[in-house]
Amino acid sequence: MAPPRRPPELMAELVEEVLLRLPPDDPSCLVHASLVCKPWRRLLSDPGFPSRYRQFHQTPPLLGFIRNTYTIVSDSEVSCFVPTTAAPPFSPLPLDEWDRGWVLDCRHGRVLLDWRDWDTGLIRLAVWAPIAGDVKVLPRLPYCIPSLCCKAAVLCSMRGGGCDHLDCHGGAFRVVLLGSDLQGSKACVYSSEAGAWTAPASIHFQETTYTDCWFRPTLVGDDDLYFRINICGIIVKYDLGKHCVSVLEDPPFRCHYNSVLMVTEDVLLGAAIIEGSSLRLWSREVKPKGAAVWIQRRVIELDTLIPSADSHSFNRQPATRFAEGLGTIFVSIDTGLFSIDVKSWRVKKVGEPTDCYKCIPFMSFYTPDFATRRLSKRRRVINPSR
Amino acid sequence: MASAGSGDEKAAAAAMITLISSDNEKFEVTEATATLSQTIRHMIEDGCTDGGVPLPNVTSKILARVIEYCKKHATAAAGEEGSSSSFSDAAFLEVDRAFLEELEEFDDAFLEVDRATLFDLILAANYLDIKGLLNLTCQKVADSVKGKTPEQIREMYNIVNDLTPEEEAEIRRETQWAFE
Repeated sequence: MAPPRRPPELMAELVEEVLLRLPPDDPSCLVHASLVCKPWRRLLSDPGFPSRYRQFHQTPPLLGFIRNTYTIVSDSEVSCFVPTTAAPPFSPLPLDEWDRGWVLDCRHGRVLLDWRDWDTGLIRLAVWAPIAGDVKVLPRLPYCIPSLCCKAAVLCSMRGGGCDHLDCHGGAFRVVLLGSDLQGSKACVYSSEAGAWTAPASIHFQETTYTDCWFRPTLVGDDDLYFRINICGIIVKYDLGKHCVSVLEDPPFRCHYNSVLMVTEDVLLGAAIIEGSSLRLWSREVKPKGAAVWIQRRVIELDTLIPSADSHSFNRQPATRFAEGLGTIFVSIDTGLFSIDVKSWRVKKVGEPTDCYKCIPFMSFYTPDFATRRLSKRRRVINPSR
Repeated sequence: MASAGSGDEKAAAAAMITLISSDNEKFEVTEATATLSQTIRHMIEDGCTDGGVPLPNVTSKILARVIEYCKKHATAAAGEEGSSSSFSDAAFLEVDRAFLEELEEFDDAFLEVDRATLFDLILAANYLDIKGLLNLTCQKVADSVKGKTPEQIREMYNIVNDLTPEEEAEIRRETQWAFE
């Protein structure tokens, strides 16, 4: 038999078309491709490649979950990292010191750990960048904040288009900490560039409000962080630009238990709720006179969307999790944990059934030259101090 | 002459275009089929298709395959236009599911070719500017590379490793997790 014909040579731009289509949920593919030959390496090292790759795939892939679980041994919550890729690009969680810490937030490629001193009750925080492998322990707060309910968010310091945060693995960051009790909330910000905490901004509730700690904050745009401090309909908004705190009402759900806040496609505060087998999407829209109203925008039947689901799958009221800002809702039913892309409505099984409230998704692109910081300096030069 | 447009009632009434391959074979196709190629669309708009469109970069073997793809997808595009009159979420999810599945089956069967033909199709899709075909063929190559080691990729596509041992060692050291 004649040997197979040699494939014709492809021009560089066509090789790039192939490389752009390598799957983001298996980051080792790009690494292997960069070791094939110099021309492939050059294409992958081009400063424009990471942004073209992100643009092509749009929604960053799920690379793993951080799961907070309760252990009887230490009578506290501990965190573990559960990668969803065969070869995960993460440095190990520094568990030696963190065996009593749990995860408060995960955003912009960084993980915020609460490493509380249980003897004194003092809050200690650290930011871990699993891909870069950095851990930064934050200085103690120089004052007290209500600690009945503490929520926090970690964010990349770059704002205003300098970084889209979808392939962001390290560098300067900020942490917003919101402490609440029955009377009010106080918010303070740590900046890694300043190396210090700001003075707190605070608000008093008009009536006594109980708090619980289930939900992660939601970031809308560059500045607005929304913290749901309980399931009865109170959201505390912290405005990073103005450093002020305000209170707003939850969407008018009959039951808030099965709902999450999210960001809508037009960058408004949204909410998703599962009622029966229907996924309802709401958005909070500001009317011309300034009053804000919650409007139901869309209803999707999950039993037809998720291939293995039927109407019985939703009898047990699945928990939902919206991976904030990244256009994905996670739904756990008896046949597994599914991710739903709310733009394309593509559904993918990403794991076994799990308690979504205790799971924080780690979603990020991984392009080798960004991750190994060969390109980061160049990016900073292109967008100086933005 | 190889006629790729015969047997279609609609095609008989529609304007026909003649495509001429590098080995001088003529293919008569409907305008709807031909204009999936942006390159040909522009030529039609500029009125320079009289006497046939010479395609010196595409052999008859590859052009026949490209036309097969365009005929199928031109029909799909026409079907989509006709069915988008009433839109609702439920309809959106159900819309032409069977038809899309059929199209996917066609694409899968279409891609059952050797690597050299696949690369020829990429070059033709790029030259003729057929986005759907370029996406399909490049995705097929990307899928074939997935899960392969650098050595396996080089062997599959006859690529010479011109990286220095030092360069290779550096990349491997920085991204050790990808080789464990």
